Amino acid sequence: MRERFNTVAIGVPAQQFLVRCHVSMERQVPVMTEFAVRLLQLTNRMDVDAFRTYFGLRGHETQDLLDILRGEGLVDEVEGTLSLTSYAVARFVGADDGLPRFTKIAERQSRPIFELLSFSPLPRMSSAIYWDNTLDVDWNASGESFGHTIDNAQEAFHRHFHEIERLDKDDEHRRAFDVYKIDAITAGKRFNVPLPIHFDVDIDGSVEYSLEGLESLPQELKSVVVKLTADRVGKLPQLPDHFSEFVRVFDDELLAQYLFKNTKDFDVTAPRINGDFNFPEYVHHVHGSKDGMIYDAKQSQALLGALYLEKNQARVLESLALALRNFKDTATAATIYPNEMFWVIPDSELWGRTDLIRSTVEALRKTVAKEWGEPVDLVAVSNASQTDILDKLRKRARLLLEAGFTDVLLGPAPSIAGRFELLILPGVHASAMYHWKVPSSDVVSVPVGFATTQPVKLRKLVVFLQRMCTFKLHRAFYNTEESAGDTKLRIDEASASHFLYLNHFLDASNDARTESE
Amino acid sequence: MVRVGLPSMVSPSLRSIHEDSRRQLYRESFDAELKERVRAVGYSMGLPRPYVDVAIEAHTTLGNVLERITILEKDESQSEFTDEANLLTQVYRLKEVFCEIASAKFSIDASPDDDLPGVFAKFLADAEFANGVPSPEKCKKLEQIVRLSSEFSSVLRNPRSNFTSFLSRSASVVAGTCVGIGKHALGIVDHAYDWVIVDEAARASPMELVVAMQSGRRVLLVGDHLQLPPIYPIAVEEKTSQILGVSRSDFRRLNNFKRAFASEYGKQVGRTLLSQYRMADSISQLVSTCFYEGALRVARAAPGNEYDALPAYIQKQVVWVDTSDQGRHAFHSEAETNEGALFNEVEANSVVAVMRDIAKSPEFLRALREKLRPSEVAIGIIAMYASQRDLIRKKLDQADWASEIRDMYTVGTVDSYQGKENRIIIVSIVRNKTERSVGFLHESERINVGLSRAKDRLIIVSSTSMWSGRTGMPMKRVLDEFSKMVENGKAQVVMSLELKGDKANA
Repeated sequence: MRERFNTVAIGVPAQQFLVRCHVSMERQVPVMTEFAVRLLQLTNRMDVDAFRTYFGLRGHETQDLLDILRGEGLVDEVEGTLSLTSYAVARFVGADDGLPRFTKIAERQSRPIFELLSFSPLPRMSSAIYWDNTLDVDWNASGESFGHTIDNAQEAFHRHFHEIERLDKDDEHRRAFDVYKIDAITAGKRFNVPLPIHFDVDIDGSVEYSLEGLESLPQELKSVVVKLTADRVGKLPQLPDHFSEFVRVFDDELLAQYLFKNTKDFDVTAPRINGDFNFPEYVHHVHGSKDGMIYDAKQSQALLGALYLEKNQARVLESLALALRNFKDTATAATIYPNEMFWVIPDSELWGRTDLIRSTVEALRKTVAKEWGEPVDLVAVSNASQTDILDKLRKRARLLLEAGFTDVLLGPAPSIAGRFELLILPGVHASAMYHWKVPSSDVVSVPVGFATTQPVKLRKLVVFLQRMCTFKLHRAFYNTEESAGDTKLRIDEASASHFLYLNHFLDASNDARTESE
Repeated sequence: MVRVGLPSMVSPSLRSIHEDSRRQLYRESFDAELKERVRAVGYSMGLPRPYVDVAIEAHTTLGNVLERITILEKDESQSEFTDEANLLTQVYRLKEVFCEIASAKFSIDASPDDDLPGVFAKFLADAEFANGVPSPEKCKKLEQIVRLSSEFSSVLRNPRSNFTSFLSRSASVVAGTCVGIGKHALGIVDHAYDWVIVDEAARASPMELVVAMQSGRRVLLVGDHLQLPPIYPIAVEEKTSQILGVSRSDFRRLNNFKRAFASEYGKQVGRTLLSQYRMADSISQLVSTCFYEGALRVARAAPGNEYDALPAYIQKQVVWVDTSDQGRHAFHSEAETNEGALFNEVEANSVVAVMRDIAKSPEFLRALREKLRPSEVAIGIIAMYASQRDLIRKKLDQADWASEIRDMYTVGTVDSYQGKENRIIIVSIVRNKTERSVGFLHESERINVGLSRAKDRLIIVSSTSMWSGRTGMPMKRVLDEFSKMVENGKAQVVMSLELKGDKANA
């Protein structure tokens, strides 16, 4: 059994080139043969010494070349003077560039797109512009030389000419026999082709990557991409493990069954099963046979994998819609509606590296708008070091704002929280995940957790949220009022006082659902 | 010397003599000497030497710049890649370059706004006049020869320009595979060479051998008929065994090299080499006893002390990772790719666990790297089945701890491994079930090749219980000899679950 737990896009660098070349329309003769006879066609006659000097040959090499020419019936030699045979002269074809031609050639312009790793040609459709949130990978480690793109493109054009012709010309009768020579190459703009990599985990906790799309890429390149991704993943920081705290703090009895020996009191000092989280049994019981077990008197559902994956997105949206409806139906005049939804992002560079995050944010906003009549703001709560320079903060903030978040809170987080993820509409609904490190890897983590409307859990999660928010130093947002609608990224200081209103959601009296029950 | 064949198939140490390198070298040399070479032709045409000298200089400098200007001006497609202003700037800059060269080299006074082709034509006409007005036709031909030479250089850039057909006739030694040299366009098989030496001749089919052998006045076949025999396409195997009236299995075992070696003529001219320079003492003992009746002699020094830094269980030269402790879990599975394709997840995980232990031995890696030759790959992983090779390759590709050793290992099937060697060899046997059939693992030659690729360390990954009761099978012989070596302290067995435990706790 394999479960997908994340999808990360890698940006494969690519570039378009304009190649001005000549192509041969028929089989070519070997280059030395061709230019020997063309030279003799221009000179009419030539002594062997001049011939040898022109081609830069040693004595026996000259004889070897002449043997080839004589063997083909192209050249006669009389007393050290060479001339073409009448057979050779008859084989010349007309040309409009003033040079004698032994092979029929034609001028051609081609605009191939090469990925810059192995310089394989890509179909045009792959060159679409893409949201640049891909994981940066050390492409230089692939051993390819980025400094010689024109030379590499020239070599690749020769090597892949037939493939390029196939991509360019559907009619095979219009395709050339081969490339004859390249006259000039001009490089166009570089761009990234996104290559999604899916992360799957099996029941033993072994992680497997699989590539999606770009089927035309050579196996070798796919292997390079996977290796570089693995190497990049291997360089991610190793965060401390606080799984037991996650389970204990948020009172999750289901996870506790697979983590602690004694689940009654969540005794963290009790020996764990197999010395660790019993992932095989957890997956088998909770997600295998039950497909995301529902528990806590139907108020919680188990989740496995990133929240933005399609399967989890659907579950979260469904339970959120239900929670919104219940909240509205049971609200009184005194009930305070939350107007901000928070996404506390884990300290992981593998989080949110595809367009899935954008679609999830949009779907969350639409779901709230549909149930409550108006959307709520979506606030990303993201880790950033106190020493991060402004440019780094701006880059991080811009990516999240472009994903659809209204505001981004940036700043340090308590070390315990690095593996915690929380998506919460205070007082209404929350999804809490712990990024559990799989044993087969030093750093890869699988999100495990739950979506819940259970009031006690919700209140505990709001406490966690408040704590996370008060740690943040900066608040980033697009200011649409300035410069006549020109959106400008602003980064202000974050104020702890802004989050005092969350206290309302710690008060059970505001819990519409509790009152109704 | 020239090595023909695909660049990707050529070992790094031979790249400098590969056909592509030789072609590039020739082209670079032609480019560097282009003027001298054209000059020799110009003189031989009877043109006045001072005219030839100045005309060639002008054509190769000013003429080239003018040609580039013409291309840019007429090439509208450039506008897709460069905006018009930029294009105009480029053209103007080239005109300035023309004027600078014209002034510095030829004392011509011109400005970028002048009619530069006209300036150039006038300069050549003046040069002709100054040198006794040679034949205009010959002067034109000289200009054409300069252009022809420039085109010669461009065409030589093309790997498919078949410069190799000249190289293969003029080089003293031509090296390639039996199939590679048979490519007709190269003309190799049309030529009679003094000697044809075929390495791994016992592995070559008669069809492959005949391609090479027909090109030689004398032939030397080098091979080992106790290693893998030739492999034929299934259709050939079926049809030929039918014609010969033998089973497919017997047909596979027919070995022409072996027959030639055992013939009267073969006995007269053949020689057997018994000193081996690859395998360390214990590995040689295992291979020699099991496959060569103990005849091999070790002619190499013992492995260096860098291996002391490896985990304890890889300290002996021969190690068996025994998966029998995982019972049925360690049985092989059938891959869906094609009939007979097998893989073994437990063995693959064990191989990965050993690799992880090696990767996490920095002291060993550091010492080993100091000893490796450029481009030498230290560790070879040999799988008896292609599906197992793919599985192991995938697991290692995705290992986030493997970045430090990516350049240090290679994974292949036993069929692809003959003739290769590595300092450390890990062999995954794969097959493990209770059924009687052992597939092609009954072929002694196959096991021999798998085990004899190792220089300093041989790590066999398999279930001992699979082979302990299979008398007559080559792996049973290996297990028996291995067990004796364990008793003598020359080999070590490690249970696979011990590795798994290491992995989980790492």
